[in-house]
Amino acid sequence: MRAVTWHGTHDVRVERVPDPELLRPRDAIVRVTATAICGSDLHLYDGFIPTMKRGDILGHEFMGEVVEVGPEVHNLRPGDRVVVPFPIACGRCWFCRHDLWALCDNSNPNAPLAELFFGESPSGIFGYSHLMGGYAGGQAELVRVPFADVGPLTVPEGVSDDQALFLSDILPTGWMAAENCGLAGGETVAVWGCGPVGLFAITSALAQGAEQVVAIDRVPVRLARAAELGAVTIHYEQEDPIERLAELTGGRGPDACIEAVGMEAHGGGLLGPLDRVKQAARLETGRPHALRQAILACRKGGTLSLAGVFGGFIDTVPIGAAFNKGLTFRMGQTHVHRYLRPLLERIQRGEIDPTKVLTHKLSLDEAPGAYEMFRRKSDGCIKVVLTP
Amino acid sequence: MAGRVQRANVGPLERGLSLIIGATTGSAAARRRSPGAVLLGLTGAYLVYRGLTGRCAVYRALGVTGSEVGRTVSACSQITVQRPADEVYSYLRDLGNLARFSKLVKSVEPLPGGLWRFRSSAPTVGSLVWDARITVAEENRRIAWCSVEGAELPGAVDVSLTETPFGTELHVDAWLVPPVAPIVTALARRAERSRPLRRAGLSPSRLLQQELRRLRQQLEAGEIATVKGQSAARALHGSG
Repeated sequence: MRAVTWHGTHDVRVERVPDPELLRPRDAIVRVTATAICGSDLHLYDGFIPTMKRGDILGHEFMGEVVEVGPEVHNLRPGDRVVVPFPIACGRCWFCRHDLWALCDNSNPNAPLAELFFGESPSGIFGYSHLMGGYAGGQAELVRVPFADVGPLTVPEGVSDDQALFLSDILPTGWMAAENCGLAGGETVAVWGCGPVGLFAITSALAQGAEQVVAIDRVPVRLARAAELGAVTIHYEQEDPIERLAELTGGRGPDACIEAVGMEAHGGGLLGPLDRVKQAARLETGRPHALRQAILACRKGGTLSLAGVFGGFIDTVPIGAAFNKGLTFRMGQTHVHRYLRPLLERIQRGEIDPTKVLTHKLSLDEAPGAYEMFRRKSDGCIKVVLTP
Repeated sequence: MAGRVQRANVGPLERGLSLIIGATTGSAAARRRSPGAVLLGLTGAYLVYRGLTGRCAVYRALGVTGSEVGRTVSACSQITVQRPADEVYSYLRDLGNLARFSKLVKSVEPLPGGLWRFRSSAPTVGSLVWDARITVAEENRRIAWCSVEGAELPGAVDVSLTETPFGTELHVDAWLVPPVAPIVTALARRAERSRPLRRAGLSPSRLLQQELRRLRQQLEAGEIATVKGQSAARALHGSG
């Protein structure tokens, strides 16, 4: 089969690799019909996630048709059309039973390695480094899906691939980012980053009762898309977000802040260049400028929701400000399984249109160029879907 | 004063090697006239002393002794499993199940007389076969087994079970006299006492923890997660 493989920083290729096989009784093999490049895939592409190996198959956002199931998979049959959550979860451990699927105890074969970095191991993730299990990803013609009796959701007729695909990650991630704000109705929510997750966070915050959503970015096309979704926008190179947010909230600051940027934030004033040097020298693994700004901007007693991916250590985070303002932090990989059905129902009812973030549909063979375009945010690129 | 007398802590074969290497080194030093020759000569002399007496100060510092007690490696670990205690107990009561999750044990078969035959295949020591018997079987609370006298791999495992709202807690203590050089055993014992090495996963207790993690996967998920044999753009192999 053909697959998108990682060979180093800014080096992804489309290559022929062996077809996947069932390795465990709860496995399924899925023929991929649509797969997307995630913003977090760019962290792999840019070489900031450790424990990648040359030849690893990328991709954790995918859907397709079941072609084979293991003997313990009774809920799926060949021919079923499914969307697959990016975290791999056994469905039976304490965390899965408590709806914390991305913290599954039993799905990361490299848990001892993850414990070295994190103290405990989160769940395995498709195509996202050996730290997260070393699973082959879904940017391929075929993919092996472990614990297929638990994860994949059958997509009903009438829901297109473009509508269903983003249930695998970015739509639930945006939804959970808003949910982590604990909105009761009437709040102001600020969202740093108007990539696909940030855009879905804007939609989700409004759906969950936010009175006002303020979107912060520097890419005009993304700010325009955020405005279309109903957000007030701030171009952070033209306005100071903290001052503007104070203006928009009567001097209080936003009730909740969503950080949808992660470890490769741009900007940063005086600290920005220092972050870049330290990240390049591996003295810190992330450039946390958006996080710093969100801490300073948030109103006292407010909530910070982190949806952007962080993988290691960050410096010069104003933890004193966070402490003295009494902020609440909520974060983590998305418990996608929790949101699959409710969000599918919202799509079916027309309350959410996931296709609004989609800008480019390309073939799998065009993946190397697509990665570069997405990284540079050129050609108005917000979200790329690849079809094998 | 008797406590100060150092007992022999070097095995017979190693004593012979020490003598040969010490004598060779000493004679090589005698033929040289450089400052380094003095150091070489002292080293040779110490190795000859070590071979003749069987006493090694380095081994002593590391805690290497010639006795079985001194070569025992112990480990302890805990894990919580989302299965009822009776199920965990029944699973462990059949020692044949150990081979379903353990990386250290290849097979365990029942023998007449309440014995179990263990087979192991470890990279450094090759194949090992030993017999053990269950020594404690308190239903749903505790299970322990121990190698029989004279076994190729002397050792014992003791598992206590406690049912809690979070699942069944397993507290496991294990002892082993591995068939490796005393220096390896001493290093393992040292690693067990070192917090950084424990944190880095380089201690016997961390190895035991990994065994327990696979036990939990088997009991909870019904299978052990793997990526061995999956697709990649390199020779077919896995990493997990």
